[in-house]
Amino acid sequence: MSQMDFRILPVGDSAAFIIFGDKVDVAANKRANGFAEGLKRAGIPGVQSINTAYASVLVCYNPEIIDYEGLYNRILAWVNTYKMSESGIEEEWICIPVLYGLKGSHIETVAEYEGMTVKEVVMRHITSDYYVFMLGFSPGMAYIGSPDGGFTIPRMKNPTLRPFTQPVSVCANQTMVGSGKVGMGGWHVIGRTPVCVFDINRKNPCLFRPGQWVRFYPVDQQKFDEISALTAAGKYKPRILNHRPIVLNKNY
Amino acid sequence: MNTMTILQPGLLTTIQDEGRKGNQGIGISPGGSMDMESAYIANLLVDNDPGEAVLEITIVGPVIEFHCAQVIAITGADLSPVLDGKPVRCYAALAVYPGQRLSFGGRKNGCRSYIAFAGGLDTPVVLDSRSTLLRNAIGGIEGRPLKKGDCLKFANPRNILPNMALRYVELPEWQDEAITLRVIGGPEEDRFSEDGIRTFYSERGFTLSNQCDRQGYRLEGEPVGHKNDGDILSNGIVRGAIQVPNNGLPIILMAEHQTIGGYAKIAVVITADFPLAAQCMPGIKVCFKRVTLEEARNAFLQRRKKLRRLSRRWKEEAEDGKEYTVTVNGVPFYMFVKEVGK
Repeated sequence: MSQMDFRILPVGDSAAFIIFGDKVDVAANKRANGFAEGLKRAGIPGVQSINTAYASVLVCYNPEIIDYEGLYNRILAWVNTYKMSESGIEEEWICIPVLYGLKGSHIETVAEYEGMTVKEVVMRHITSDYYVFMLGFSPGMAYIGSPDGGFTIPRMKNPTLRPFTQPVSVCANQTMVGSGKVGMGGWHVIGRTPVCVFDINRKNPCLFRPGQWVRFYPVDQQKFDEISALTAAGKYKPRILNHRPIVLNKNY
Repeated sequence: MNTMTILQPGLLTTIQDEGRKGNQGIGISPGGSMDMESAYIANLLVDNDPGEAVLEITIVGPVIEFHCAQVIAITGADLSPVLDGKPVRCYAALAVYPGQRLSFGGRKNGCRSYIAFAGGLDTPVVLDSRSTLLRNAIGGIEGRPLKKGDCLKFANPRNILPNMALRYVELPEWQDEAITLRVIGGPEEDRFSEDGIRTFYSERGFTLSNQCDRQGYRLEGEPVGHKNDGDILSNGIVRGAIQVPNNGLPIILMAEHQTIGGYAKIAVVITADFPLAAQCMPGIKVCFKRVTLEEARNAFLQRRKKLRRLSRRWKEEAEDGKEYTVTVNGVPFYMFVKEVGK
């Protein structure tokens, strides 16, 4: 990294932020993720955890081993030897099956708001590039945004009970893949996925990881049931591509 | 049987340890004991690793029956522990025998009490921790508070430990009326107006509302003003972070804090004062005092040093004498025999 494009500041006496921007922005998020990966490898003594958000990295440390000034200096020393290419994360696309427009979903509300047909809503959802900015709020939940469009419909004024588990919902250029529990939410549900975002018994509990691109593709009830059965047996593996996919099912 | 049975669960009794530090990035709160220091001391008193799993008890204690001889220690809030009807000392190792019942008479001070068991608890480890994360139902016993009839297994119970009579430390005095928490200015302090910052640090302070749990404490009082609003681009949360949403009422984030938050953080409680915050009861007056990073670190290092010295009494200054366990009619008795001379 040739110039400082970040700020470091303390978060209490045992953590620090490294901030790369103040907007939801793929480039800033990639810098934060790349920086976090590199910093993990740097192995600074006393650092206990390194986590990323939209455009920032949170470094928690043990104040018995290192202080803020020491951490600050170690980070700057490391940055001078750090090249983006060394810690750059390879691009990948994870493909998520969705059964669209189930009974109880809000796909018609979305269509009406966006001035589209239901079919056009599905087409937009399966052709948009979605990007995982971060995981959080609940285990494995991904903050997924669409830099190239998505849907403009705002969040509901009053959250409602989700119509089913594993809902796929949208609002304000973002999309969310919900968990295996029926909860409340203010986003508009347009379909349901047979895959599970978080399973503590899986080797890798989270389906998504920050920095990943997401492509949704439509499945019918039969395929949905097949994948559900594989998921329940712990045998389902999502398709992950190392190139940007074309629309996976043009005949939808 | 190396077990104990929960006859009554109390208000909120959970298994806790130092929590899950490395998983915040996948949306799992670190959690762990609210008052790590009291849990640490309880473990020291029974020769455990300081991070061993303990029971965290909230305001109203449980009733526990032991099915084997074991050494325990109760620290944190004073909830008047009673063993088979007789009051027992807090902050001291205590030998318990099969069939004995531990209960609690009532709260004297503080909010959360901790019980450590020699050799630790044999409960499931989930993501490197035995702690119960209530918000996501992870760890502990099925991710929930203990309930009537739960039977917990001890990993390696001890019927006696060396120098039992010397295993005690001073009792702390928890404040129930007012506390001052020392803080470092927060990462989004610049989002607050000068007036807002003055309000936050004023001597009038705030009152801890009833909305306070392992996740966070909502405060009531004069609203803290922002320059514009309190919304920020969501970023990471740490224990002790004080966020101020648009209603101006601060929220102190505690053990089970959310992993990511979207409200401006005006300040962060220093690590040395976490135990003070953890022992607060609703209704207490809370004031904030700004300190420097250096002061915060020195306060933390001093407390750690003090903690490390606590076990000296029974580890290094052992009295001359011999300890015996004598069993009479199946009940073991602890005896310490010392030559007193003429």
